[in-house]
Amino acid sequence: MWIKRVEIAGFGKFQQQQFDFGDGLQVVYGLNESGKSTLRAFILGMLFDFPSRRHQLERYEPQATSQYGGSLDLVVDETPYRLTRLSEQPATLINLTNQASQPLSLLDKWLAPYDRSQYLQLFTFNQAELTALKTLRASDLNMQLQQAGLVGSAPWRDTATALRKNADELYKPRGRKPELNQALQRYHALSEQVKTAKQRYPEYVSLQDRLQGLQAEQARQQREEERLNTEQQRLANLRNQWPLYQQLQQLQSGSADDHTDQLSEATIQQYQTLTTKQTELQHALASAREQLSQQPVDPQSQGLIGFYVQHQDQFEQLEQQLPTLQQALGKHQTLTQQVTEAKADYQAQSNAHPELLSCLSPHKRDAIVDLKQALTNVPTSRGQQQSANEHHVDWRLVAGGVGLVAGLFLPLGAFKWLLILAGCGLLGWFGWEELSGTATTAENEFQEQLVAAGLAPNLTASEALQQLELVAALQRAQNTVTSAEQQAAAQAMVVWQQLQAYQFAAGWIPVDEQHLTTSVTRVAQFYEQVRQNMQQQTMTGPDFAFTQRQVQQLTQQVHELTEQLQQLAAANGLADADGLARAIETYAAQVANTASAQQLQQQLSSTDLAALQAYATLADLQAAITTGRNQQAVVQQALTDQTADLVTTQAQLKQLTEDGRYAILRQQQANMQTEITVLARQWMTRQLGANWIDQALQLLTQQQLPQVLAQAAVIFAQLTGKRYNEIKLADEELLAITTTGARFNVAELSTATKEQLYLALRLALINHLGDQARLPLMIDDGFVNFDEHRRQAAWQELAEVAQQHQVIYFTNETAALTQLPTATVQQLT
Amino acid sequence: MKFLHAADLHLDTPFQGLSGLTPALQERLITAPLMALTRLVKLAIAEHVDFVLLVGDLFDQQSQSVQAQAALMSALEQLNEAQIPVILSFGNHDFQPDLTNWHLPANVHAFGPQVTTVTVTTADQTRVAISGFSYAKRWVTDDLVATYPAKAQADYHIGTLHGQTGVAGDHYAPFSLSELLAKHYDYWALGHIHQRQVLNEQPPVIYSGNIQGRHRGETGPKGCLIVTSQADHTLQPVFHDLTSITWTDWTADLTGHWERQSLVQQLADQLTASMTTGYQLVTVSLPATVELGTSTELALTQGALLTQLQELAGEHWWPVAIEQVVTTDSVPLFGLNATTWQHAGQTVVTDAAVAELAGHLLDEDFLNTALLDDVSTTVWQQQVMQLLTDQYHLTTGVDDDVD
Repeated sequence: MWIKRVEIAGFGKFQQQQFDFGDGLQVVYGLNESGKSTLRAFILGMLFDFPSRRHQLERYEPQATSQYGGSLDLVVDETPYRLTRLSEQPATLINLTNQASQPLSLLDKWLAPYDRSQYLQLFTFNQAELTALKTLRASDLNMQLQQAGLVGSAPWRDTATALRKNADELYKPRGRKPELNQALQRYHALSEQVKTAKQRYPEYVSLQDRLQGLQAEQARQQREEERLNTEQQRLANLRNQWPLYQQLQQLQSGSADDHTDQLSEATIQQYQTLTTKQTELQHALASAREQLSQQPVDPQSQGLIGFYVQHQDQFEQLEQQLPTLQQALGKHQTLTQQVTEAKADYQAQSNAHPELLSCLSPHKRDAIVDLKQALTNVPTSRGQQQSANEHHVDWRLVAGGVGLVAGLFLPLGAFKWLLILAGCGLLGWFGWEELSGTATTAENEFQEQLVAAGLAPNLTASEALQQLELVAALQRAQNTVTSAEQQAAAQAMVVWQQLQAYQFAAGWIPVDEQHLTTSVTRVAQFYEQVRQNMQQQTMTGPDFAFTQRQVQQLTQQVHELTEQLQQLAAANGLADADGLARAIETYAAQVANTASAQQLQQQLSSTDLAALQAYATLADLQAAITTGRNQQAVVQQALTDQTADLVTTQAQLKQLTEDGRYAILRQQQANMQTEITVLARQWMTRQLGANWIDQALQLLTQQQLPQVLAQAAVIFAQLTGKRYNEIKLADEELLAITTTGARFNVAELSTATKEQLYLALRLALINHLGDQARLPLMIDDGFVNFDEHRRQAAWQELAEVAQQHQVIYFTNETAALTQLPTATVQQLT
Repeated sequence: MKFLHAADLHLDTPFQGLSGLTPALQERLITAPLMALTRLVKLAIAEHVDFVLLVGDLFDQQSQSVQAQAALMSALEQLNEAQIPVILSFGNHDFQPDLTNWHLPANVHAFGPQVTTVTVTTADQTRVAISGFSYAKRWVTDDLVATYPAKAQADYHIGTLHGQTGVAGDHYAPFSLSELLAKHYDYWALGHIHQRQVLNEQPPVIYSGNIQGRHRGETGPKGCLIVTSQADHTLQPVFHDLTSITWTDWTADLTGHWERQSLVQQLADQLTASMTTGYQLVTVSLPATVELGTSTELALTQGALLTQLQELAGEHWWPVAIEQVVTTDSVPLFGLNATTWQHAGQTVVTDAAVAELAGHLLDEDFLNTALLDDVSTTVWQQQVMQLLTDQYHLTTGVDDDVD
């Protein structure tokens, strides 16, 4: 493409102006401010659209006219086109051959793959650029090569860009919004949930253990419960047996207490025989007596004898005791006599001394004793008193004497009179006492006591003593009376006791305590009477006699029997027949007990018995039962609790095992993993793809680089007058190598040489691009630093380039007007 | 004499490689392993087996899933009630350092870490000796076959082993087939390999395989073996299906050029026609004869095609992935510079580069596996190449897509 004509309607300082160009090297000459830059900007604006109103400066708004823009005539593949951009109107492109309107995309196609900045970079250069040049790196160059669309790399670069863009939409390492990032966030959240849900497993394990434990415990408690139930039943059973047991105990202990020697069967037999006989005999005797009592003729006698016979046993016993009774009575009488005598004596004494009677009263007794004592003590006390008095006297006498003497003989002045007085006083006191004292006191002493004793107060000691002796005699008499009375009473008692045995016969023998003698006499009389009557009866009636004899016989037999029984008892170590009877009773009871004990034992099993023996009392057994009941209650409570516990645990387990969330979460997690994997792979392929493209392009351009450098070297050599003939690439740095082999870094070159190197590279690049870069170059006078010679060389090069490209060379160098070979010159005014 | 041989229940392992599941399907998948176990129990009872062998990996010890363990316990209980003994061992996934915490029902015998033998007497008085061991750690590197006892006096002697063939030092109770046969047992019940496999016909040395496939690699029917004694004292295993959800690889019957919409519809129709029973998780392959437009291809690689197909999922099938058979002809795009492109590819697409690019993505274990272990460099290069081609066409608008 080359620009044939520029028509400016309004742009910068230009207004309705046109410029015609041809292919090849075009020189646009103009002094400062002639509009070189403006023209250049216009061309750029036409090709790549003008800058928007925002970039006011670059717009080059015309001042003089309202119209803005213009048209550009382009020749592409030998076909002329007109590009028009005017003010706000849409740009147009017209094929000038057939006036056909072309879409603007065609322009883009011609310009492709360069945009404005790329075009500027590649196809334009100016001094500013060259000045800014500090160093050249291969990567920059590479970039330029790439950007230059080496190898038709633009679509690839676009592809790479698109891939990277897609990749970024998918994932950014530190991003939050891209799809994969979000997916990862969700995944992490889900993983957390999974982890939390996983915590339920230890809970499950512990619940299982707990369940096992509880079940074992429950089994144990149930066994315990059974055991307790059996035990309680056993105890209840025992309790039911307790009464039996108690009976047994009692029977056994009863027999244990009894220390009776085992009575032999023989003894028992004998006893029974004897007792039976005795009973028979007694019956017989009783009937005989009955008979006897009915026998007597006269009613009085009958009554008497009858009575006597009825109570014959008693009477016979008592009769035997009659002598004793009579003796007792005799004694009583004697005693009574004594009493009388004592009383008489006493009476006599009291009559003799009536005034002493009062002294006998008990109150006075003590006083009398005191008095007596006092009297007997008189001589001794007097003696004592005397000695005491003597002692007493001693000190008073001495003190008085000393005082007196001292008072008299010691020269103490006034004080001696005092002493004399004191001495006199003491002595006087002593004397006074001596004279008046003892007798009266003695007398005074006794007076009191005499009165207390009931005696006349004015008695002398000896008189008093005499009185006292009389009193004592009285007292003795009194005592005698008393004791005699006592004895008599006692004896009366004895007699009366014996008489009382006859109370039962009060009808026939009234006895009376007051009349003991009479009573005893009556008793004796009774016996006499009975005897007489009986004798009479015996004599009068043979029946009576017979019966009497029978009675006697029977009585005798009874006695014998009683004797035998007594003997038997004695033989068995017992006191009497009663004892034997008791023993036999006891024995029989024992036997009965033993029998019932055996019976009871049969009812009680040995185990029960043994068990019952463990308990002392029913209360103990009851206590055991109560304890048992309590234990049962405890166990039952425990079981209830356990069952509740079990139910809870099982419910918890059920909840855990039915909780499907964990499985759901894990499947979701697996699904998410799939999703993420897909996204990650997509991202990875895109990144790899982009990298691949970049790498490939780099490699390819690197392949191209030597070519470009080679060409650049040629141009450089020409520009520098063959001073440098090689440009090399060492790592990333470019080296300029002289013909002599000296190497120079770009930085080491002089400014001009550097610029020339740059120019050479640019031109080499453009040449290398070949068909890819058939666009006009615009050079804005960049050779200010070149010397004459080198400028010539540069212009030469430009001409070379111009053979393939249109080169529009803006300059203010007058030499350019004439010295540029085959150039078309435009002059700006 | 009849028994059931199963292994690798993996009750708590989820299904891998799935996405975009409908809630109903998700529900179904979650309960699938437990359903399979229930069917196993029912089968054992229905067949009146004399005992059940479970040879390892019943669940994943690390997962600590309450449901899985509860389900296992429940199944063991049911077998206990039916009075069927269970002889089980633990494998490398459910290894048990301490067996004392397990409260197993009375009918269950679990092997300890040492090789032991237990004898079962069946109802008809046949005595069967069974030897085996459990994993106490994740790996068992010794060859334990030597410690298996010589053939016992019993009527039958069965060996159980969870592991794979190999040499001492390998991680999973390595053994060799000849070693097993040297014991002259009547049957070797193996576990650990999820694919049902017969290493030897008579006496049978068999992997029963797992009871439910969990990823696209585990295709085909899954279940257990019912082994019956024959008149000639040999044992004959018969496979029984335990699950209705199976993974399948399926290639579409297509040729020519296909565009997105019609392609999806066509695939759906073909799938519905060919999948008429059970429930298949299908990995769809497009044959080499199919030609796709660029945008269709991109939709394929980006998963949009799969999503569309999932919407048309049928009663008996569900698409898991759509893949294209990779053709080996080089991309003509690069023309003269093909070698440079290849060279660039080889520099750029390496494991190290992938690792570096992935960066923190590799913190996730599964991504580490997905990006580095599962995909080789060659596959990466192929995939990137494919993408470049598609993207280039898209960018340059070269393709004549009518979307």
